[in-house]
Amino acid sequence: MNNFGVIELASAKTTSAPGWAYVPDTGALPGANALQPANRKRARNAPAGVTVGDLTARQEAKIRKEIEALERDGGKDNSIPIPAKSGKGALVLIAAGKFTPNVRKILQSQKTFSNHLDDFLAMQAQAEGGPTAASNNRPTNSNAKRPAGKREATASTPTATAKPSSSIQEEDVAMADADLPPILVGSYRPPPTAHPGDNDPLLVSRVPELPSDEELRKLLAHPPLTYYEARCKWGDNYPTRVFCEVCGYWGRVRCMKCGTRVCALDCMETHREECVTRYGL
Amino acid sequence: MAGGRKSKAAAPARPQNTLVVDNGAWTLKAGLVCGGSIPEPRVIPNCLARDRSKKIYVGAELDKCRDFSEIQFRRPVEKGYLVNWEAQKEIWDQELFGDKAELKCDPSETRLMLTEQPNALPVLQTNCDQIVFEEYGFSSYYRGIGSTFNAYHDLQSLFRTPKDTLTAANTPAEIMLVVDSGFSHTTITPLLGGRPLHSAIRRIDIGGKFLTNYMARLISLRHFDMRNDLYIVNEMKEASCYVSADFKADLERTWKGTRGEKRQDYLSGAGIVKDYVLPDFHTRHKGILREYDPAQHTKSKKLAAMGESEEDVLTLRNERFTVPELIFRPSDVGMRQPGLADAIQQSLHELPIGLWPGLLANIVVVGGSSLFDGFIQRLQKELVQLVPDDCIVRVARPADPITNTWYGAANMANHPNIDKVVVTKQEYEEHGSAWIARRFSTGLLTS
Repeated sequence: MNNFGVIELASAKTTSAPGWAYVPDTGALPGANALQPANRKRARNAPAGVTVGDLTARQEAKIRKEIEALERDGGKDNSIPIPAKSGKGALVLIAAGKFTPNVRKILQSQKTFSNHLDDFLAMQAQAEGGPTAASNNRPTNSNAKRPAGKREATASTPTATAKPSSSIQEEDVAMADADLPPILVGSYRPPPTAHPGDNDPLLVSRVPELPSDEELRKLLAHPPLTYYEARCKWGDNYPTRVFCEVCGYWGRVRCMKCGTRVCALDCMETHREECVTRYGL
Repeated sequence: MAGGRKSKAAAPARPQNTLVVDNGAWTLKAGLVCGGSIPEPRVIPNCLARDRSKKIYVGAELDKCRDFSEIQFRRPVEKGYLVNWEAQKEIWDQELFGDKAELKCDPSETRLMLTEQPNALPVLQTNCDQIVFEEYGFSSYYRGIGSTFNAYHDLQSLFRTPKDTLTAANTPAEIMLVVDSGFSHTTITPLLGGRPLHSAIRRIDIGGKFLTNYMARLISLRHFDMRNDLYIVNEMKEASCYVSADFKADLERTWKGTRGEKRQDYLSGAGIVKDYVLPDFHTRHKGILREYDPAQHTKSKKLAAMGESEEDVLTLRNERFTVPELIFRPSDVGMRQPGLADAIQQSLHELPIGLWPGLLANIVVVGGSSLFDGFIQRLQKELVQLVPDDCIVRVARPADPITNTWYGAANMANHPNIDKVVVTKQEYEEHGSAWIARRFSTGLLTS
């Protein structure tokens, strides 16, 4: 398969379309080799089919697309309009100016969660990296009206993201100095009577020390993490399990053309039909 | 709906009514708590739906829908967070404040308690506060992380801990760990006296929606295309899926075998394989799950060949347990996130070791995705293998994991200290929404 040096990249960026990019010609690809045979021996020894690196890139791109599809909600057409009630649809009300400016702005906004998340990340980058970083990550889709946003910022309701860390910190300090009751109260029952075997090294039980009140207060006063910070971290603790993509049993063999895992010959034949239509012979 | 905008003279007395709303992505749970008595909450689908004949259903109207094939949904809550207020207002207006609503209440004399998911974006929280006060004009308001409300239950009776009769149930529970596995994602929240330990809250991006989509994909690959019938697939998932106690053995028993030698287990079904009769929305409005019967299959194949078959049957094999398995192993579909037990361990590692025994002995699992058979047993088994031997691991699921958060919030509404944490409309007008956001992030003070 000669793809003229163009490789599909598996990046972490979430675009709905697959990302294509020109990458430096390293000579590992058969297509690139054929175009620029720098060394005759290398050209001769280059593997005829697809290389392992090519396969994994293809696989990763496929997996990423599949996960995006699984995270989507519902089918392709997801825009259901608000049913217009007799005489007073939502739009009529908005136009009639029955709402305060803030409310109107919120109701009219058609931003999705990922739009909001992008905005938030851009704002965070701005807070950390100063104006230069901000100019790079401008929020792209802002359907909300600009004037309304500005008025809101100057009014009594500034957005909480403006300087989250410093203001929260002040609040914490104010809390700590008060004389507060303990957080974890001990047992309400008297401890059991002493037993002669209590000091026996074989019977002794080790209970970890409870953290001090001060420590607990510090934990409780911790500001909330951001959306991405709270996501679980992936460590390569276990080998990933692979499954047959046709029947769901363990994927014990791999298609030589596209790297798809299948379990045995039966499923391989089923897969090959699909593989041929997608990637050619 | 700007009725609540008239100013109040003195500091208002404690309102008699509290509207408790657990605003989930799949369903919203709402009920009016009046003066100490807690009614049963209404569970309303939180969506706008459009069926094949382009008729639109809002919220509870969905019950009137007769034909769920190719139905489309629009949800105001996305990834667990309330994003689209245009749609949400439509549903709230109809279910909570409309003329025909069962829960009709006047916001200006009502307190609102609203749940949210942890680690929300500040913009969305601000939007929510502004709508609550400026649009609806509730007299006072508390917005808290959904999981934290689960502390307002008699936790020890859930675990059947033997105790002396003298001690009443103390709420909020001193220490517990809440796993909330809902429609959008699964969160882990350690609680100390009903307050969240923010640094240790963790999330896995797998919930009911992901599982339904995955099941639809498997069925579309193996049987017929159901990617536009997610509602039916969801019903199928709820009826048939279970969390396997021994994944390897179950997978082995449902394998068809190599070419030429079909396995005996595969032919007989091995007790795992089930048939699901799909609804046709003429004679059958709900799908039926029944035992796999190989003899009937050969018969129905003949009938289908003659064009006389009256039912569509799906044979579910390893789909029954590989789908919920994703909660415990997201990497099975290539997602780079750890499983639930690992995620709990990551959360614990953020906390001092002294808290581990308390948290591990009081794990409560809530949310609709925890309803799979074998969920808590599997979680307990995996956790025991991960944590120190000396720690006792107890995992419990309340009788109804879907409304448990709502009932907890209702209990909290009756808590004597509730007045200290709510924000009144007056305070909002004075201090603004940034102040509210800071105030709500700490949770209820028990002292």
